[in-house]
Amino acid sequence: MSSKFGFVGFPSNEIESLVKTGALSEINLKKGQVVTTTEDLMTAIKGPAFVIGAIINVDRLSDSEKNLINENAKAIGFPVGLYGEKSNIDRLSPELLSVSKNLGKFAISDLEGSTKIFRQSLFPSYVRTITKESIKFILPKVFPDMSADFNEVEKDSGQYNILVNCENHGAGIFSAISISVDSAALKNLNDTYRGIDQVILLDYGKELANQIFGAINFNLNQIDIYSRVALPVALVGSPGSGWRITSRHFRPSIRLELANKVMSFQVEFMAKTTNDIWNQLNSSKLTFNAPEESIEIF
Amino acid sequence: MGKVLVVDDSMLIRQKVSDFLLSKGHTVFDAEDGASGIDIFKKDPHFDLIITDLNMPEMNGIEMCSALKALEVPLPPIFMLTTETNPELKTRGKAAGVNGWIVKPFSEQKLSILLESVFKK
Repeated sequence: MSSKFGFVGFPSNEIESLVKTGALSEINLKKGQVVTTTEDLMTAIKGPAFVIGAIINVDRLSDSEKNLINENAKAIGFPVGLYGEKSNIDRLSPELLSVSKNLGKFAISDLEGSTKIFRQSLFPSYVRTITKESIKFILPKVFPDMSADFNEVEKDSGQYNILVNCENHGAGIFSAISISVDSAALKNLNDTYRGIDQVILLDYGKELANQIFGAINFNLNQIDIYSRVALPVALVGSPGSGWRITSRHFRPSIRLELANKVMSFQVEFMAKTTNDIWNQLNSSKLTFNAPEESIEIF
Repeated sequence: MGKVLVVDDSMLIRQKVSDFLLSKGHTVFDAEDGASGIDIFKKDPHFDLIITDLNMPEMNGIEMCSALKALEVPLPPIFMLTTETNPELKTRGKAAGVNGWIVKPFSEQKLSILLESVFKK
């Protein structure tokens, strides 16, 4: 992934100190890039990079720097955290303000709150819809008698010991799904799963990931976005132990946990924000289409 | 009744497809990747139908079809049973000798349509 992945901050002694002290990783940001001039800021955000947001101290901008940012407001196109005096913030372009979150006085807690806003706002609305519907549609087909009664959560609360990962790549998009399973809870769910072999459970988990992406891609095709599913991989830990997360990249994502805490799904999705794909993913009024009747004889 | 080769890296799919075919009276052989599928075919190429996944380790479904084509022996109809819906992959599949494309999730209704199209001829 690009070295620009993460936050850019300008002009930002605060961001720099966060990078140096590793504080960004505590709020799930892998990397922050500190830029020191408005020109560098514009270069960073215009590149084909997965920049997820910017923090700008407006009080420190000169008039010429404000003009430069105003002129490029449309190109920024992703959430910006502005902090400083209100009168200074008001002097920025309305276009920029429409994608901005006024942080007021800068503080790490504001930044943490902003990561949540960024993570949610950068997960396209159409993808959110088809992701939820795809999981609802596919889950009971791979795991019979399993209801996709899930809640959108910030953090898992189940004790998961199996992790299945699968990626999905296409022109202008990258997505990944992580399915966490509590094998002990699954076996206690009903007689269908009581004696299920772990090897078979892993196989089911991988097929589940594969077919969820299949359903998502089937719907992305409706707006002319084509991508390809990679081979899923699975990891196993001790039942009831839960996963110890040692490092996480920040990516726009949603996390859906089944009400019975047998499974949790984290779906990450990144798209270029500087081309039509981004607009399509956020403005499509299409509803979910199930790939049930799709059979083609050549 | 016919002889069918089912190739899929998922045990779940192999089992479901095989159970359905067996219930219709067909003889079923199965393999977990393209390379194993070719090995089975080479031992006895008298199959009436091949149903294969696309994304598999070792050798994917399209690569397997190309390799079967290169054997220069009569091939049965080959159908892809996959989550992939990318038109470019379908075009590549056609070029490799794939005769049809079924999108997962697996359903008995879809396989019935397929079997009817193959065995009524």
